[in-house]
Amino acid sequence: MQRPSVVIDNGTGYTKMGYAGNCEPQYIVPTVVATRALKGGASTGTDGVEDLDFYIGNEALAHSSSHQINYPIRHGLVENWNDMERLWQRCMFKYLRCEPEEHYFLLTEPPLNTPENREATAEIMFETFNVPGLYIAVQAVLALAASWTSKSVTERTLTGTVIDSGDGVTHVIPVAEGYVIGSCIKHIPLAGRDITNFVHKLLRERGEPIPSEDSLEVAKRIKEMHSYVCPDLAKEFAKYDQSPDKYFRKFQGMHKKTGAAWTCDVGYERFLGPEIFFNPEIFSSDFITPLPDVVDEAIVKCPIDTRRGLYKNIVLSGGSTMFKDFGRRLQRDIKKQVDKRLEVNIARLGALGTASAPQKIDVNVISHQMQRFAVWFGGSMLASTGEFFRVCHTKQQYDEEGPRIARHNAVFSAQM
Amino acid sequence: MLRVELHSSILEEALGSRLLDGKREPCELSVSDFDDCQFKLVVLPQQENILTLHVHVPCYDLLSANGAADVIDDVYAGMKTTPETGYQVAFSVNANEVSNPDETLARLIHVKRNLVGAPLMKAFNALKSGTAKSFEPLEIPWRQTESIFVQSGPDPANPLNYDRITVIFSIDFPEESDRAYCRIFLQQFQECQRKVNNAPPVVFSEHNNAPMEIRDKVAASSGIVGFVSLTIFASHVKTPEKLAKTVDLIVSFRNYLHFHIKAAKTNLHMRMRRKVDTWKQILNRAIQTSSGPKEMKTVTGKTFTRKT
Repeated sequence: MQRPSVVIDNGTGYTKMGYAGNCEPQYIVPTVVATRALKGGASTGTDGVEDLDFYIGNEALAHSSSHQINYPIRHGLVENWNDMERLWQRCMFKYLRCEPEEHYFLLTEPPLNTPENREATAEIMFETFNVPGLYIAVQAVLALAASWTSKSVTERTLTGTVIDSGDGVTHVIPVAEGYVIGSCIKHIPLAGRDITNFVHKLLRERGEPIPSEDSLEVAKRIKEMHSYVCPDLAKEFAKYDQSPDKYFRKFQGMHKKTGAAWTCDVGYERFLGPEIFFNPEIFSSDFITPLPDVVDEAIVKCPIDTRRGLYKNIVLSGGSTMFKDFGRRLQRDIKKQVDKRLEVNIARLGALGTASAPQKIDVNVISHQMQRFAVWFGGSMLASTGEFFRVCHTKQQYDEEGPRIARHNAVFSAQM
Repeated sequence: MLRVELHSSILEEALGSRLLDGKREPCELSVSDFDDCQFKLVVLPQQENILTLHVHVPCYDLLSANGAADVIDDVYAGMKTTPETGYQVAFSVNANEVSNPDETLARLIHVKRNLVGAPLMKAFNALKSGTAKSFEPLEIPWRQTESIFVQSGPDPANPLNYDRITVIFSIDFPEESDRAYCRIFLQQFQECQRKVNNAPPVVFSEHNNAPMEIRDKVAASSGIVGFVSLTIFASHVKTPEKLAKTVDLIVSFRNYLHFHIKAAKTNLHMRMRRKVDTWKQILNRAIQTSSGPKEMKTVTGKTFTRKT
C-alpha cells in the first residue's frame, strides 16, 4: 500500500502539518521550541537526557517558566537550524508518528528564500532523518494550486497573483508558470493583528463593558465571527443608522475570574475592521496605499506578457482574507482601476484607438473553501499526485551529489 | 519526552471529538503510524454517527492466527465490519449508541497495540498459567529485514521448568550511521538494565552471534545490526497492570529505539554546529590585517600616513 507523503508548512507563527490526501492539516501548532536554558557558561553538564529535554508548540509555551522559548523562524525564514531540526524531529515522532525513512516529505519555503537555506534543509532532512524523498515548494505556488478547488476555476494554471494575508504581514506575490516574479513582490504592513487592534480600539472608544483583561481576545473573536467587507462605506453607515436592530449584533461573554456574564454591542466595527485594507488611512498614518492599488502596482510592474494572466487569476490565501465579500470588493476595485487606465489609453491613441480597440482585461479574484490553510492544502493536493514523486529529490540523488540538489526544485507541470 | 506514546493522537482527537463531544461532521482521514501501520477514519455524510476505522497492519494473517483474531472477537466484539481494499480489518461504531464512550475510545485508539500485542499477550498468559512449555515458538517477520521471535524457555538449572518467555528482536537500520548509533545505544541499554531492580534481563548480541534460541532460524551473517533479547519472567506479568505495561513497552520498543537514535543524532549535529562556530572564530582571529603604512584622517579632514 502506498504510504502517504508528509506535508509540513512551517510558517512564522504556526506550523501546519499532516498527511497528504487529507483536506485539512492534522495539527496546527505554534512554531516555538522551548529548550533548556543555558546557565551562564556555554556548556552544561551532561545528564543523559539533554537530547530529549525540549518541547515544541503549545507544550513549549506551557513550559515557558522552566525553559527558554525560541522562535526558529523569523519573517518566514529559518534563523536557527538547531531548533528547526528539533522541531521537525518532534513533528515526526510525537505528532505525526511516522518513520521518516518511509515517507516522502513536502516542505514549504517563502518566496525569495535563499538557496543556502534550501541546502541546509536538505542536509537535515536527508542526513538526520534519512527521508527517501524531499520537495521544497514555494508557498505562493501551493496557494495557487489550492485555488483549483474553487468552482469558478475552469483551467488549472500556475499563473496568478497570490494575496497572502496572515497575522503579521500581507504579501502580494505574482507567479508566472509556477515561477515567482521576485522583483515584483509587494508587502503591506497591515494584516490580521492590525484588524484586531483596530476593532479593539473602536470597542474601547465606545466604552463597551468588556473586562479589560480579555478585551483583545474579545476583539479577535468579534473580528472572526461578525466582520465582513461592505461595498460602500457611506451607504453602510446609513443602513446601520436606519435600522440598527437589523445590523447591530450582541456579543456575550463571561468574566474569567468572577464568572459574571456581560454583553456588548457590535456595530460599525463589523465592516470597519476589514475596511483598513481598502482605506488604510482610517487606521494608520504611515501606510496609506489601499490593497487594490498595491495589487495593481505589483501586476503592472511584471513583464507585459504575463499581466493578463495575473489579472485573471488573483488568488486569496491566509486567515485574514476570509472576510465575507472580501474577494468581491477587491475584484471591483481592481477592475475599476484597470478599466480606467484602459480608457485613458484608448483616448490617448485617438483615431487609432477606436479603430483597433484593445481587448478588455479580465479581472478575477478567486475565493474558495480552503483559504485558511491554502498553502498546506495545496501541498497536500500536489503531494498526493504521481507527479510529486517525479519532481522529488531522492536520497540516491542526495548521496550522489550532495545538498546542492535542493537549490533548485522542479516546477510542477500545471496539467495534472 | 522519554518514551514515544502508544497511540496516535490524531486518531484520538478525531474519534474523541465525535464520541465524547458529540461532533457530527463527515470526514475521511487517513493517517500513518510507526511500523508501516495505516488507519483511515471514514464518516459518511448523512450518517455522521457511524464511525468506521479501517486498519492496516503488517503481517496481519500471522497476528490473526496467533491471538489477534481472539482479540478482535473479545475486545472489539460487535464492531467488526468489512474493510476497504488495502486495509485488513475495520471497526465501526455508532456514536449515538455507545454506552461507555471513554472506554470505546481507548479501545479504538489502541487498536495497533492490541493487534500487535496479541501474540505477546497469548505467550504471557501461558507463562502465567504455567503452560509455557506448550507455547509454540513464533516468528513474526515484522519488517523486510527484521523479525520478532517469541518463545518460551526453561530454567537452566531445571530444564523441565519452563519459567520464561524470550522476546527477541532482530534490529536493522538502512543507514550506516544509524546502525552505528543503534549498536552503541543497545550496548548501553544492556548496561543500564543491570542497574535497575527487577528489570527483565536484556542481552544485545551482534549479527554474527545470534542468541542460541534462534540460531538455527536465522542466516549466519544477515548483515543486520544485531539481536536484542528480552527475557520476561512470571513476576513481570503477575498482575493485569504489569502484564499490560509489559506488552505496551515491548510493542513500542522498536519505535522507542528509533526515536532515541534520531534524537541523539539531532543532539550531535547541534554540538557539531557549535564546534564549527568556535573554530570559525579562531580562524577569523588569525586573519592578518595588512601591516604596511596606513592612510588615516584627522578630525579636521587632513590626511596623514601612519608609519608602522
